[in-house]
Amino acid sequence: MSKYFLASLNSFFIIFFAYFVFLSIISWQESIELVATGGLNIDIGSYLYLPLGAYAFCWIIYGKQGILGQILISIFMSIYWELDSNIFFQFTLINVFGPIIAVSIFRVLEVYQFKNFKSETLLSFIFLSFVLALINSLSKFFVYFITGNSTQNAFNFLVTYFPGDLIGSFIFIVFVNFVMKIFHLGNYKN
Amino acid sequence: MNIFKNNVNAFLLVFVSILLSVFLGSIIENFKSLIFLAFGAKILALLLWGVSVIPGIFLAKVMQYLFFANFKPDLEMVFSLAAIATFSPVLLMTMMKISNAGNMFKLENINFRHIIFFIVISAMLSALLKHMYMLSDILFAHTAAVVMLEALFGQLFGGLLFVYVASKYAQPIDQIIRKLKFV
Repeated sequence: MSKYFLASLNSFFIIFFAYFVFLSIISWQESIELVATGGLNIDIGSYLYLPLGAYAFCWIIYGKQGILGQILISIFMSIYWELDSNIFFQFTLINVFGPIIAVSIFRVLEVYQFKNFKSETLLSFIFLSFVLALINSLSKFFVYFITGNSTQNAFNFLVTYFPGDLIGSFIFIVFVNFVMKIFHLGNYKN
Repeated sequence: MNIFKNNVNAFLLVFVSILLSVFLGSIIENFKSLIFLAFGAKILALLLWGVSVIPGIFLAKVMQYLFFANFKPDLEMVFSLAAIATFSPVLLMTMMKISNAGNMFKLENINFRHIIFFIVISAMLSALLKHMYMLSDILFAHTAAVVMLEALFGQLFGGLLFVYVASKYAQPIDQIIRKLKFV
């Protein structure tokens, strides 16, 4: 029980950190007028969506023990962004289960096992980020437009979500890999 | 001469599977959108004969968009969509090879699970790129997302079904080469 609590708590704060950095970058971009003011636009997305990498990292490290923390932070952020009721649960679920599906595809199909996170190569992280971005952007695209929330051109949606997910998740995964290496952090003992 | 033969083989394999999908689609409602066999044929051709059969696959895809598309594409769109359909699996093959995720260029010691991975990811990539191109100059219509979803699942199921059936009758997979001699 305490293992589940600890893993969930860790997952919650790791993903919270990713969201915090992500939102700080958006505020900074606004402050120097790199992007239009008005906060994050869910229609367009961001070119550096760090939390996707955080969700994937938490699933790889903590597995099912940290899933409660992931669900909680996902619900928390959906409330924070005031998502419409018709996409609220879908987006919350995609945030959590998209990375799980992506990592499971790699594991089940014996492409990469991601058992020892520190020893994985940069190329495997690129590939993981690529699949994460594909699943996240496609599933959010389907949910967002099939439920009829569209106010923007669909092309703008895809062309920002896909590269944003790819770059963001890759940067976050490489960053935590680097942190694990320099602080000699081991894998979480299940 | 061998490359030419392989290209003809690849063209026939993909084109016949397109015809089969269209024929079955006219009999069974939504068949073409749910199980698009040509995607599997394209993947199989690339696995069997390598990247040298790109012209044959490209030609078959051009024919598909010219004669069997549900919409009326102009010539630029036909060639662009055919190029995306042909090159997206090649891009993924290259990515897989570079990142040691499986060498799809060589059939020796190939892991069938890696082929499934290749089909799943290339179906997603192909759907994403094609629809990014098609949606670039139109404002979004609700049906486009449904079409895209159908295309994704059609390619996914068609690809898996085609390659599974093909490999079932010839194991290891390189024996298919001998079975699929069209010319």
